[in-house]
Parts: sequence; C-alpha cells; structure tokens
Amino acid sequence: MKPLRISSRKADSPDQLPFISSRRHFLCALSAAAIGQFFPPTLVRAGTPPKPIFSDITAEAGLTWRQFNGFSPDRYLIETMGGGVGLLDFDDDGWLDIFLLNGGETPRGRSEKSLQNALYRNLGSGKFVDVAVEAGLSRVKSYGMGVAVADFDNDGHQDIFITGFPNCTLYHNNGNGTFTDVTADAGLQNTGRWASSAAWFDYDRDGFLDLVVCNYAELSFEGVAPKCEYVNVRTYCEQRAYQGMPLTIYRNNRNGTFTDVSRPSGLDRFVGRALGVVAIDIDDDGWPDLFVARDASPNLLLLNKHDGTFVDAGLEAEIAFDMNGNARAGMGVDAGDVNGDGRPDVVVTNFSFEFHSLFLNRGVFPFEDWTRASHLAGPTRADVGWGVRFVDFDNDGLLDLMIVNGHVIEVIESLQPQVKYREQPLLLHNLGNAVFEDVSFKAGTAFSQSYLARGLAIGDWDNDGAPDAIFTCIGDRPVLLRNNVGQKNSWIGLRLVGVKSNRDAIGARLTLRGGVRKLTRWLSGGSSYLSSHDKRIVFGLGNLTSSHPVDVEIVWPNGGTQVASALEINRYHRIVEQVTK
Amino acid sequence: MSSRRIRPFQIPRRFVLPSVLSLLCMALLMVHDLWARRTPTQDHASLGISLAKQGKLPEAEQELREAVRVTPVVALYRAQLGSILGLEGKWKEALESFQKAIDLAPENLDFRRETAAVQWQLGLMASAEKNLHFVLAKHPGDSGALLLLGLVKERTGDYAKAVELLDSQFELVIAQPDRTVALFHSIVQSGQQDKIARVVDILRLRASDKLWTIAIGRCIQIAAMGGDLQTAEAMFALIPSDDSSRTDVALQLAKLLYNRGQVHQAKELLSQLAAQGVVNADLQALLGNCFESERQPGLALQAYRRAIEVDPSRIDHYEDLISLLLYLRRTNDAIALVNRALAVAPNDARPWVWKGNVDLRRNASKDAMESYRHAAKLDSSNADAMFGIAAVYFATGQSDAAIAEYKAGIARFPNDERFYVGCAEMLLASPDSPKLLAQEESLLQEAVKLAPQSAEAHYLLGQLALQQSRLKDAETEFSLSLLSDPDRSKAHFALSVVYRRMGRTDDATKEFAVYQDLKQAEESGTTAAMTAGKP
Repeated sequence: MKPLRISSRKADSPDQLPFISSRRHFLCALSAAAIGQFFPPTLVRAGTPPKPIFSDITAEAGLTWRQFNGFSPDRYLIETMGGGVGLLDFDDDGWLDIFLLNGGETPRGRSEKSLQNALYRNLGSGKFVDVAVEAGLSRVKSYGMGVAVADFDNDGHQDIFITGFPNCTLYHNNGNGTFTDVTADAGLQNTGRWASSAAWFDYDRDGFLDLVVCNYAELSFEGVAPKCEYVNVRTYCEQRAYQGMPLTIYRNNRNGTFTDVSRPSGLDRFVGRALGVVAIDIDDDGWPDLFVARDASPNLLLLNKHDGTFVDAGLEAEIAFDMNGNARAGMGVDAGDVNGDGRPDVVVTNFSFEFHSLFLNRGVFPFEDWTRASHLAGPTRADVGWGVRFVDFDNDGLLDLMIVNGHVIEVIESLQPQVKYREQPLLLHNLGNAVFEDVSFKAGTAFSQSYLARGLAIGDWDNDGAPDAIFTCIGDRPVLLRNNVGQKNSWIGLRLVGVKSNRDAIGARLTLRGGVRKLTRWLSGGSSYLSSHDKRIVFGLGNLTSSHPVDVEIVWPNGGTQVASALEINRYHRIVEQVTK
Repeated sequence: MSSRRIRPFQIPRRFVLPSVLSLLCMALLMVHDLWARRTPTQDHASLGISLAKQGKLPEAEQELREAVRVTPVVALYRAQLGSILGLEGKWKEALESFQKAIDLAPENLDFRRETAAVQWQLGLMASAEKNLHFVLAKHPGDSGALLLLGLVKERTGDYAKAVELLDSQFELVIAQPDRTVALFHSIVQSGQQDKIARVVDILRLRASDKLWTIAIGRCIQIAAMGGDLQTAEAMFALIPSDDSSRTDVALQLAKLLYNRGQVHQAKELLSQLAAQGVVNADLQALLGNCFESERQPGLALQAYRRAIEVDPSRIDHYEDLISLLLYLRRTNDAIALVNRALAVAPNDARPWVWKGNVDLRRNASKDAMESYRHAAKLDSSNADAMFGIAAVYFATGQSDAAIAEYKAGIARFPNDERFYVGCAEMLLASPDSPKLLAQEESLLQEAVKLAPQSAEAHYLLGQLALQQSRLKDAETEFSLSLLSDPDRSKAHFALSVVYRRMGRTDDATKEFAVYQDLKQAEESGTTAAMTAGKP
C-alpha cells in the first residue's frame, strides 16, 4: 500500500497540502484506543514508562546492512574516516528513503563477500527494504566516503553524488526507481583524490546546482603505508602525516555536464585536509558562501564575491584557528540560527580536548567563540566528533544539537583514561540564547551506547513533523532513530520547489512569523559529515495553536522574495517559487 | 633547553683578602716598634705575634686574648688581637676588637685605618668610609687610606671616584692583583677607556706570574661584560698557552658571552679552544648550547655527544642532549640515552625525570607517571618531578587532577613560577574558564612576579586580556612574551589577532606571516618524525 504523495497539485502554485498522518501513527492511535478499552487510563499511564526522546529502531525497521571499512594491518587512515548516509525520496512517493554508502577494500583489508551500498526504500510502515540492486546503486566502485543528494538537472528527481577514493560517482535518478552512472559524461570523476564531504549549491545563482568537493589528503594504496605506533601498537597516523589537497568546485553547465572551475574561482589555492562543508549565506548578501571544516588545517570561511570567485575570511572571522594558533581537527560542520538573531551561526566538530566549536555570527567579524558560554565545551571535551546537525528535536522553536562521536585510536583508553574509543552520541537541548543542556541521558538507548560513529543525517522519515535521524558507524550497522517527542509540539513543514532558482531551492532563506515567534532557517547545501539531509524545512512552533496561522517569507536562491501567508500548522506544505514574467 | 646562567658580577672573596691582609700587617709591624719595652703582659703579646708570624694563628690568638685579659685598657693589644682575628677570617670578632681599640684610643689613625679595612671586608662601606675620612682629615696624604677609600668607592659603585683614588696610588694598586682588578673594573664601569691600556700593560708584564693569571681572567670577564670584546680577547692572549687556567678563563668568558646573547662570539671562542685540542666536557656542552641557539641541531647533537663522551659520569650533561632529541622527535635515541644515564646514576632523580619526559613524549602516560613518581621519591625537593606528574595529568586530559597537582606544587615550591603558569593554563583550557578569570589572572600575576621574563605567563595574561577585549593590555603582554621568547609562534599569532581587531591590518599581516614561518618549521619536524614511524 503506497502512502499519500506529499502533493498532487500543480507545481506552480503556493499550495497547501492536507495533513498527512502516517500509517504508523494511525496504527498507534488504533492500538491505544484498543488498550484503553480494556484498562483504565490511569493504569495504562502508570505501567508505561515515558518514551525516550529517540528510539533506536534499526532492527525493527529492517536495516541489516553493515559498512565495510577495509580494516587492515596497514592502518590506512581512510579505514577510519567513512562513511556517508543520504536521506532522499528517490522514488518520489512522499517517504524519505535511506542511501548508505559502503567503504571499500584496502590491499590487506579484503571482504569475504562482495561489497554493496544499500538503498533502503521507506515502505511508510516503519519498515525499510534494500532496493540498491534494483536501483542500480549497489556496486561499490571506489572506496566510498560521502553522499551529497540533490536534483542537479532540475528534472524533479533526487540524484546522488558519491565521494571517495580514487574516484567520485554521480548517479542520475531516472525517475523510475533506477539510477544511471553519469560520472564520466558529467565530468565529475575527481580522479586521484580522496574526496570526503561534498555540497550542492548554486554559487553563481544561475538556477542550476554546482558542486564543491572537499578533498582530504593524498593517499595511495601502493607502496608502504605510513607507519605509526602508540606505545608499540600499530595505529593510524596522525592526519598531518598525510599531505592536504585543494578543494574542487564544479560549475553546472546546465546540460548535464560540469566544468572544473577550481582555478578561476580561487578555491584551488586552499590546500588542506577538508572534511566538512556547509553552503550558506553567512554574510547576508544573498549569495551562498562556504564554511569548510578542515582537519589540522585552518577552517575556511569562503565568501562569495558574486563574480565566480571566493575570498577566505577565516582569519577575520577568527574561525580558522584556536586561540593558540593551532588548526583544530575540524570534521563535521553545520550552520543555523541558534540564538534567534536571524543570522547563521556555525558549529564544528573537533578532536578530543579541543571541544566542538560554536561560533556566533553577530553580523560583524570576528565571530564570537561561544563554545564555553554555550556549555558545549563540557560535554564534548573528551569526544572526537564527526556528524553534527542543528535540529529542533522537540519543535520548541529553538535549534538543538545532535552530534555523533567516535575515536580513531584503538588503544586510546590505555593512554587517556577519560577518553573512550567508542563514544556516545550527544543530544544537546537549546535552553535559549544558544545555551545548551546535555539531555543525552534521556534521549534513549542509542545515546547511552558507544559507537565509532561518523556520518549523521537528519530527516523526518515518518512524516510526523518530528525530525528523525540516522548515523553511520565504522565497520558496523547504521543506527536509525525515531523521534518520540517532536510531535508533542506544534510544527510546520515546508518543501520548496524552485522554478527560476534551482529546483531543490538550496540556498533559500525562510523567515517564519507566527504569534510572537520569528524564526529563520536556511536550506543549506552540505553540512554534517559525509551526509545528506531531508530537504524539507521543519519549523518547531512550541505550543502555538492552530488558531494562529503562520506566515513564511522565502528569499529564493535567485534573490526573489515570496510570502506564504496563513499557513496551517502541523502539516507539510509544498511551496513553489513564483516567477514574475 | 637548559639555561646556563652566571651570577651577576662580584669580586670573589679570594681576590679581596690580600688587600686587607697587607693592611693588617701594618698593625703587626707597628707592634715590632714597641718590642723593646717588655712587660709580663707584653710577653703574651710578643709571643702571640711571633706565633702569628709562624702561621700558628689559633695559638697567637690565645696569647693575645691573654694579653687583653690581663691588660684590657691597652688599645694596642686589642688592635693586635683584631689583626690576628682578621687573619683567621673572623671578621666580626676582629671588628669588635678594633672598635674597642678605637674606643680606648680614638685618635689613633692606624686603628682607624685597620678598622676601615675590616669594615670594607664586612661590606660596611659607610662605616669604613667614615673612618677613612677621619684618617685623611688628619693626614690627607695617607696612601693606605687613599687606597682603601678607592676600594670602598669601587664597591659602592662610585667608579669615577674609585679610579681617581686608585690611580693616585697606582704603584700600590699594581703591587696586588686584586687591587688591579678593582681599578680595571672601575675604569671599565666609568667608561674611561683611555686608561685601560695602562692596566693591560701592567697585566702583560705580570702574565707569567700564576697569581696574576687569575686576575687577568677576572679582567677578561669584566671587559666582556662591559662589551669590550677586543680588550677581552687581547687579555686572553696574555694567558700563556700552557697555563692550566686558560681553559677555565675561556670557558667563563664563553659562558658570559652566551648568557649575554653574544652566541656567535662564544661559539668562536669555544671552537678555537676545541681546535687547539682542548678536551673538556663543559666546553662541548656550551658549544652545543651555542649551536642550538643558532638553530643548528645537527652540530648541537654532536657537541652534546662529545660532552658525554669526555666525561660519561657527569650526569648533568645528558639533559641537553635528551631534550634536543625529544624536540627533534628522535624518541628512540632519547630512550637509549636515558637508559644510559640511568645506568650511570640510578639513584639520581634527574634521569628519572628525563625518562618521564621521554615516556610522556611517546604517549606512555603510565610509564611517565611511574618515572616522575620514582624521581619524586628519590628526591622530594625535585620540582621537575612534581611538575612532570602534573604534566601527565594535563596530557591525559585529567584536568582536575592536574590542577590539584599544580596547586600542591605551588604549596611545595612557592617560588617556582611554572606551577602557577601550569595551573592557570589548565584553568584557561577548562570548559568553565570564563568563570575562573580572576583566579587565572591572580596565578599569572604571581608567576610574573616570580619570573618577570616568563614568556608563557605573559602569553597567558595576554590571552586573558584578549578574552576581555582589553586589546592594549593584550598587545603589551604578547609583546613581553615575545621579548623573552621571540620564536613563540602562538604569541605571534595572538598578536596578529590583536592587531586585526585594532584595525592594524599591516601589522596583523606581518605577525601572521612570522607565525606561519615558525609554525611551518615546527610542523615539518613533526611530520618528518611521524612518517618515519616514530611517534
């Protein structure tokens, strides 16, 4: 049984869809009603422990796939760096599906069975089924790292770009549940480079998505691998043993091909170990900028100069180095307005004892290092962080933080008693004014267990308005989380469809006004680590009632402004860009 | 890197004693004149003097004490007793005896002069000067008093007057090496360069005399400290090549030059000695320091190794080499050397501290902790051991334990600024740092009081100021930090941040460029070591 599509209306009207209740919730409601028939309500409440914020439903959902990392005695660094996950509705059925990218083999790290990526189709019932083979996505062509999903050719279907070593791959969505490898035609092989995260964004605002690729470091499986030891135990070398690489940026030629414009854009000058990237308009000039998190290389804040070039303002913004001039081990990155001032702030995950960083954007340089003031330093002190995402998990209107962690040195616990090899994910609740409280202890079993987590993607895969999550783990199964609390508050979801702008509307800025609330969100490109998120924007509205309809102002990526008024809450809306002729 | 510092200039007592002895002898000679009028009491006195002449000072003292006891009102006996006590080095008792003599015979100029000599010896310059002025008021041409007043003026820093007085008694001055040193010192300090040659000529004439070689050594140091390297080198050439003190003098001179930052000159001097076949562990160690200062680690390593080979039992020479090997990330070589040091001195705390340093570098925190603890057990007064324990806590992220250890260090070694700095650094790095600003500031201010040159303390004070947007203060502190340690990359970086915030873009760019160069040099060593498989 197929669920309702998000929209069956014409794409050129700012339409509003009827509230969609998932079958799962419908069944839950039925079950509750049935239980209520046999037991008095008080007894039911007394016997039911409160649900955690998130439930780990990996097994229940049918996710059995495991990542293979090519773990070997050579300890190639790439073994401990992958891998990505993408949330996308590949079959346009209104339900988010999950693409899981496998790692790969190394010369002495071979798999007993053939390696496959997974494409879990969301059945809408809380169950998923792997259709990677049928979709033509199963084959592992390179050592896989990251996933960047977007509709690069504006045909209405989500395409998939895969980063890795020594090649990247672009899969075009044929719109019939299958994909075609169009890498060579598109010119996106990125050959010879170890690519990590990538972000789709329209840097020249021509209505077609361009692509920036973070290249991490020089790597070769030939010859002798760099050898490093901790207390006579072979382990991964520090990142600095690997020479960094320049960024690559590809301009979309609007015909299915891309041109490498790294040199004319100036991005090829930025050589370093880039791992995470988010594309967002940092300086509020209407053009998308890039924040690049780099590992033991200074972070970059690449401001779009509107002429196809970028300039780094990392030093001016004071985000490049720590206070001692050391480049931190930047991994994941995300941007969002955590303090309600309408400007995108930035979070970066780092290595243990560096703290994950939170930079507040006050509208002038430098950014304010808000790490300690936000209480982010304490909970992240001993962690090695990777995937990260601002997410309003309880829909109270304030962006919270989810972070996944995991160390890279197997013997670390014998060296640093306070540091663990496998680490717990973190859920930090925004108390207002960008001050966070660690609520991991009540976030469910997944937050009390330890993982070698890497990628993290956020998306509402059960369409209940409460953002869910999935994160990947080295050499292990992913962890799929269902949000149990977001539905308790009001919310509103928006799916933007660009017409003049790129169809995914990546780069759009949305400002919601409802009651006394004014919330700003962006549809950013990239973010987190190696992962790709739900492209719908969900605004948490707290206890706002349905008698308070909300207005949303959308500044489209091409600069046009549109206001969607009196939107009904607690449902998704599909909003199509209005084009003035 | 270890720092070798020489104490500020002062004329050692061994050079001074002869000046006073000769003056005291005048009192003894004076007794001879009275020898003809013998009394029973005089028997004790004359016997005492006779014994003193034979070098039997305790017996002489006993006889003169008897003379004083029998006839306490005779000032002469008290003066004689004072002279004997002076010869024995019992300066305070000598002064007491002379002062009683003066009480009995206040107009006696000899007693006044002798008393002044003892007061000079005891550093009581004002009293000495008063007595000498008393003598000179009565007898302006008293050469002994003029000479002594010149020495007093040299001691009190009135160098021009000292030159005038000592020059007026030039023949008396050049009769004794220590007086000549005093004159030379006064000439250099008062900047009367034209008078130097005259003294150097005298030294040249006496250079073959062993007693004068020491004086020449002192004068070399004085000239070098005054920046007159030409004179220092000229005087060094006066010391006969076969003189055993030549190496010592050269070493002292080289140390002086090194400590004054004249590393190249120090290195040249040491290299010359080495080329002349001088085999000396201290020489090689200092040569290593010079090479290290000039960023020639390869040559420094060789020199440090030679220092150890010359005298493998000298445990202190291992430290520089181990530190340098660690800096170069040659951890395995450092381990081998530490083991060798431990074999030489297993019960000495220092090699255990070095072992801890090596263990910490190779991330063996448990071993490091054991090493430092063992060092602390062997020598509870070893601050490095306690500092090492705190460093292990620091390195392993156990910040609470580290802070506790630093605080214990402050209590145990209140004058060691490193514990204050370490504690402040831990607090600054803690998640709660913004709440602890006052405590951090207070610790760092204390550190700066103890060690005004502490580059790290100034750097951290700068960071505190920067956090509070006190940009001018931050600039001052970072600049002070760089004065002490110009190669501190992070201070250049921080200064670039300050300048950028001040809008001084050019200065910011300049400082950032320096930071980048230094940082690149630091990291290239790290990368080379990592890819060579040596963590």
